[in-house]
This record gives sequence, structure tokens and C-alpha cells, in this order.
Amino acid sequence: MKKSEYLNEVLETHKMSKIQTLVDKYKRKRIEIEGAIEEHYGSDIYNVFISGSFAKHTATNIKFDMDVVVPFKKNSFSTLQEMIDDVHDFLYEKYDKRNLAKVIKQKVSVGITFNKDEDGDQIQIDVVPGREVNLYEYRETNDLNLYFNEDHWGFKKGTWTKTNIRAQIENIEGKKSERDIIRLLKIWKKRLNKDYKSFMIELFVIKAFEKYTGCNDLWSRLKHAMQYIADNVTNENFSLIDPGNSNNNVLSSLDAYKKQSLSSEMQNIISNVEHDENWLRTYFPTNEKYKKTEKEKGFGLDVVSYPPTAKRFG
Amino acid sequence: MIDIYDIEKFLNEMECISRATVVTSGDSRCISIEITLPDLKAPLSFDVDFDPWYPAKACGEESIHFRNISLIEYPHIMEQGRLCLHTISSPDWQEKLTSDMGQLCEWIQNYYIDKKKDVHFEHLVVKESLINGCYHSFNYARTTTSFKIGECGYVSYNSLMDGVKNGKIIKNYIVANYYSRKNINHTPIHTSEFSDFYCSTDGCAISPYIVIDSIPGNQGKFIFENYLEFESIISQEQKKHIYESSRLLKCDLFPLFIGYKIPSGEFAWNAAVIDKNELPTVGYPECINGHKTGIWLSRFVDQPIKWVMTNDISPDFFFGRGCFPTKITGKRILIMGIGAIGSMVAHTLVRGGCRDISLYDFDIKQPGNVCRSEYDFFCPTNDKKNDLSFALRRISPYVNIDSYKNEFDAYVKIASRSNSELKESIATDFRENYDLIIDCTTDDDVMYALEQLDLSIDIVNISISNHAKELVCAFSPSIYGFVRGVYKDVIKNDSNDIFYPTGCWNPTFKASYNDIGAKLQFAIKRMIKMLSGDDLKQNFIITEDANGVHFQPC
Repeated sequence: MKKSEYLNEVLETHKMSKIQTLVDKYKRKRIEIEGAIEEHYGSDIYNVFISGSFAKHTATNIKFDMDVVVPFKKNSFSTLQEMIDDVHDFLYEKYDKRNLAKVIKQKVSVGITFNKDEDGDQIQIDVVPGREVNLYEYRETNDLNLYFNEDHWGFKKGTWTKTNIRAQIENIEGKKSERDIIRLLKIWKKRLNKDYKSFMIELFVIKAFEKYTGCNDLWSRLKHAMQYIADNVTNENFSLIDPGNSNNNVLSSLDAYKKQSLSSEMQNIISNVEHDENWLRTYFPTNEKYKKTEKEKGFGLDVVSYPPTAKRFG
Repeated sequence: MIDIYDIEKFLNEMECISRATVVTSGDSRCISIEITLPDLKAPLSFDVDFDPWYPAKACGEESIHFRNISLIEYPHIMEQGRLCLHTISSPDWQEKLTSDMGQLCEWIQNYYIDKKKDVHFEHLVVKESLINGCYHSFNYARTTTSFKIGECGYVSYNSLMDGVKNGKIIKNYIVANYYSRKNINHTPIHTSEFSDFYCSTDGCAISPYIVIDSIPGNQGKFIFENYLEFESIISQEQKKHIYESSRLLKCDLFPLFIGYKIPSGEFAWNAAVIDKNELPTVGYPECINGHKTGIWLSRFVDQPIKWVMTNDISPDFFFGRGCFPTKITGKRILIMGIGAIGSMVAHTLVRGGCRDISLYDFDIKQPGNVCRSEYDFFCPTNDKKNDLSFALRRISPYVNIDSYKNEFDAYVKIASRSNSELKESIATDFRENYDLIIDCTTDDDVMYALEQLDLSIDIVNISISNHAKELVCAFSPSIYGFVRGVYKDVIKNDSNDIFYPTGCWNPTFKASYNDIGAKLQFAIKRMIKMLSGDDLKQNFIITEDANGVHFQPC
């Protein structure tokens, strides 16, 4: 259980509640943006909602996204490009022109990076405009067309794809157990600077636990998810279907080399940790900033004696 | 010494030999044999000389020699009709002799009976002359442009260090560039692939070159020995060029470079030393129908040619015995941190054929560095970049070395933390100049800075723990978090048994050249495979236990 206890500590130190003040700032800004958009676009849009790791409860305090999704009606704009341009122009006028934030067009969204506040915090929120596929069908289907402003996920600039962000969020709802594993893998990804898509990891983990009957401790579950990824990612017949678009196999954007790399990386983590559990600390480090002191925590791995100078040489 | 009559008796019992007879002449140990093979119309004779130390070889030379001067036209038959063989080694003379005779029969079958021709071109055999009591050796390489038959001009060459050969001084040179006969001070018309350092025109010498239309040898093996053999091969214009060169050049002796195309399409070069006071050409007036035209022509005189050594050190030969894949040698590589690891990496890459290396380190080489890095004592205290640059140029005539000033370190760190144009400017500079950065600095700030610059080029980070117990190798983009984590959590670094140099310096690790080199070479081998796409690129640790050195992917 030592490994699982350590992993619990990792999750604990990466909780969003550790940065509640910042989270509150995000929420306030999000409400402000939502209000402004609703006021500006009025009946051209359906209810604005949030997505990203905030909405999915997979955020960690080292990496999180807050996306504000704006579902436009089919007749609001004649083209998807007009839609994203208009949203950009509106937000630019509201924030950038007044020197409150930088507003730029991104891959499928408009990014707003607010100026640093008095605490030095900088809020970054992405606004994702989407247009319903057929007039007045959105309430029923939640399907939206997103415009690609840059080449992304195999799509060329100027093209679009159908997605269902609500379905993507619902896909992970009520799956607390899976969310823990997703968060751990996202911590690995962030700490070791891996460029795999979080969405792919999310789908992998959810699929890995569809028929899971193994032990419930954190390490057993994490190991199972990693083994599942290692075993399946290179399988040509294996697919990860986007719950927002049944035609989108998320794995197809990963080339054979990256698939092999991911498989090896997952396998390496398992074998190294099984050989020496200290490897957990390298792959899944705690957030030292929010770590309890030794006296406070009262659990975890054996006290590791860090060398006073963990120096490397050359 | 094996009794020659025992050998005779043994040979006479061999199936392929119809007759073997000892030929006594002074101290020689010679047996005349006749070979009979099913496909031979008549027995083939050889004189077989046995050195007294047979069956052993001495100084790398064979101790059995098969001779038949009438076979000189055939492949692998050298001077005096000797067959060039590379025989097996055996302390049992009967076993060896059986094998030697087997090789002889194999040669007869392949080359005498089946008339086989080798695809591989053997460079001409040259009898080297001593010039003023010294040997001379000119090293040349292929050029970036091809030569035309009949061409002539001037070649520049630079002196290298003198060596010793057979107890004599050998003067070494490197052939740099080829210039037009008329514009000797202008841009070269053919440029060798050597580095700028070796192609430098400062202090270089020049000499004439000519390109002829056939291989200047007899039996395709032995280079011409007399200038008369060149009479119909070297054109009037080229002869005139030789004469004009003798007038232009101030020194009494100069080499004439003679180039010719070999079957591969490349050009081979030989060099003959000419004494301007004893030219191999003489002038004579051109006559047409018994009337002098007023034009002077040249012809060769009966004069032995004084050949000196030339070596084709084109990359295929220089690195032919073993080099890295072109995916690696073609990379522009920056090595940051050139201590024990960085200097070994640099040496290994340059020996492996890498040609574009940049170095960065702010440190000074001290005598104490020598025992476990690729530095020598010759200049005990020296800027590491300067010292290593010099050493690398000594290894390879192909490597161009650049180095950064000491301020580079701070510059990178400032840039990486900046959102300003400086960050993008230095990142662009990296991208435009390098394909690969090898960070051996062991400086966490450098590691962090490089990651922050988001360079989109390969970065490899290499370091070792105390006593070189573990070697850690990490690849971008997953370096900083991984390396820090491994040293903090996994590696049990011995921080007590460390070395304290004299003076107010940081204590350093303990490990010998062998400790470091053994793991590092293994790591470089894996790194090369990963960077060239033969293996999956993944971080790894090299560890060692009683069973050997181990590769641990991470």
C-alpha cells in the first residue's frame, strides 16, 4: 500500500483547492466573460457553458484549462470563420483595446490572457465558439461545428469538424475513480513535459476501466491503466472514439512512432516502479509547494534519505 | 626451423601437387612446385620461398611466398611475380601449409582459370623515393567539383607534422584546393572537403597538377617508373605547364600532382618530385615539312620518376573503417559543457565522422582534468574550448569547430526567462544553427533554460553520479523534470566520498577515465541509434553490477 499512499499524496498536493483563491479569480472572470457574451450576442446563442479540465474535474493545480463554450445558432453567421472572427473582434474590443488583456485567435478558440493582478496572478481563459449543425437542433443534439483557425489534430486551417462538447463532459461524469488516474497521468505528462493529448489519455483511462475487476488501490488502478495503454496503443485494430463525434478516432492523430513511444513509456514506468518504488517520485512527483511537513502527514513511503547534495556530474 | 626436405616430402604427398623439388641456392629455402587442377590444361609452376620462421609471420609479413613472374598480368600478382596472399595463422606447419596451398589453388581457379576480375580498384603500387633523405606523404580528398581530362593548374597544400618512417623523417602534407593555371590568386576551381582549418591559404605552398586520361601504370598495378612512359599520355600543354611551373616556383624541388579517373568515377592522385635544375622535359622546335614553325614543344627525357606517397583520405576512406550513420554525421551539433563527459562525447562524434561541432564551456582546463577526460597535459592550463578545438582538429581534417564566448551562458538564461524578442531571437539562432544540442554542463539552470526556449530541435542531456555509478541520458522534451527527479529520488548518490581539489574550488566526483568511458560509450551507442531513428528515443540510465553494464529505459 505504500505506493498507493504516496500516489494519494501526489493527488492531494495537486488539488485545485490548494489554489482556491486563484480558482475563485478564474470563476469571477469566467462569469464576467459569459455575461458580456450573452449580452452581446443575445438570442443568437444558446446557454454558454464551461468545458476543459475545470468542467471535467480533471484539473491539477499545475495545469488546468478553463474553456468557455459559446453555442451559436445556425443562422447567426453565414460562415464559421465569420463566427470566430466576430467573437475575436468583440473580445478584442472589450479587453485588448482597453489594455486589460491580450486577445488572440487560437486553434479553435479565442484566447484571453488577462494582465497580471496585484498578486501576480494571470488568468487565461479560452472562448470556444461553435455553431449548431442544423437550425434549432442544438438543444436536442448538443452537436456543434468548430472552426479550425490553424492546422490542428490533422485538420487544416479553414476546415471544421463536428463535435459534442457536452457529450465529452458527460462521458467522464460520475467517474471519480477514473478521474484520479487521469489526473495522475496528467501530472506525469506535465512534470516530464510529454506532449500527448490529455483528451486521449482521458479516453484511454475510461476505456481501461470499463471491465476492470482488479484491486481498488491507487497503484493497482494506475498500473492497470498504464498496462492497458501499453498493450493497446500500438494495436492497429484498437480505437478511441471521441464521444463528441463517432467518426473521430482520437488515436488516429498519433503516428506509429509516437504510439510505440507511449507504449514503451508506460511499460518502463511499470517495470521501474516495480523494481524500485522510488521511481514513483520521479514519474509522479508531489507538488512540493503544497506538501505537508513530515510531522503533519503521518503517512507515505519510508522516509527517503535524500542525499544532501543530489549532484550530478559531467 | 622446419626442415625444408620435410616440407618437400609433405608437398609431394598433396593431391594438387604433381611435383615438388627443393631448389638449393645459398641460404634460400625454396621449393619448386607444379600444381595440377582438374581445369588446368597443363601443370602450373611456382617457386615457393619459406622464411626461416615459417609457419609464423613476422612484422605482419607472410613467411611463405609463391612466385611465378610469367603471371604478372594476373590480379594479385605483385613485383617479382609474387602472389599477394593473406594466410591463416597456425603453430602447426602442416595444417598451415595445407591451408596455404588451398588458398593458392583457390587463386588459380578464380583468377587464372576463370579469369575473374575484381570490382574493387587497387591503387597503384608506388616505390617511394627519399627526397633529401626524407620521405614525403601528400594526403588528398575528393573535391566538391569534378576534374576534366587534360586539365592543368596549381594545387595548394599545407604542411602537417613530420613523422618517422623506417627510421627516416617523413614530411606530411594535406592537399587543399585546386586553382586555375591562369588565376592562381583567385577563388579555387576545385575545393577539397577538408575543414576550413586545413584548407587555410595562410602559409600554404603551391605546385602544378595535371589530369591525364588513363591510369599511369603497368599491368594496372605498378606505376610508371620512367618519364618516357608518360610521353604520349601527358599533353603538350601539360608539359608546358610543368616547365612554366619550374620557372614560377622559387624552390628547387616541387611535387607534380598527376590525377586520373579510376573505375569508381573518382580521381586518384600520385605525386612525383621534380628538380627544377634537372627537368624531365626538354624543349625542341616544332617542324612541319622540315620547316620550323617558331613554336617550341616539349618531350620527356629518359629519367626515373621520383614518386612520393599519396593517400586518398576522402571521407569514405578516412571514416571507412567505422563511422556513425549519415543522419548523425550530417547534424550540426552544439556540445555544452566539455568536462569529462562533454570532451569524450566530442572526441567520439568527431572520430565517428561528425563535421560540424560547436563547443561551449566557460571553464579552464587544469592539469587535474587530464586523468579522466579527453585533454592532455601538453598545455597544462588552457581555455577548454580552445584546447578541445585543437584536439578535435588534430583528429579529423573534416571537422569545423566553432565555439561560444563565456557570456553565452548568461545570455541563454536571460533569454529563456524573457518574453521579449530576445527569447525568440536566441531560439531562432539555435534552430538555424543546430540540429542537435548535447548538454553535458550538469547545470540545472542550463537544462531549464533550454527547455524553456522551446527549440524544437533534439536536445540530449548526459550526466553521471559519483563514482560514475550511474549515467543518466535524457532527451527533449522530457529532460528537466526527469533528470531532477532521478537524481533526487532514485539514484543513491554518494556525497561523502568526493574529491577536493587544491584551491577554493567546488568538490568534484570521483571516477576514472575508464569508469566514465565504459558507460559513456555504451550510452553514446544507444543515443546514436535513437537519434538516427533506429531505436525508439527514450530516456535511460546506464548502471553497472557484477554482471556487467546495463541499459535501463525510463
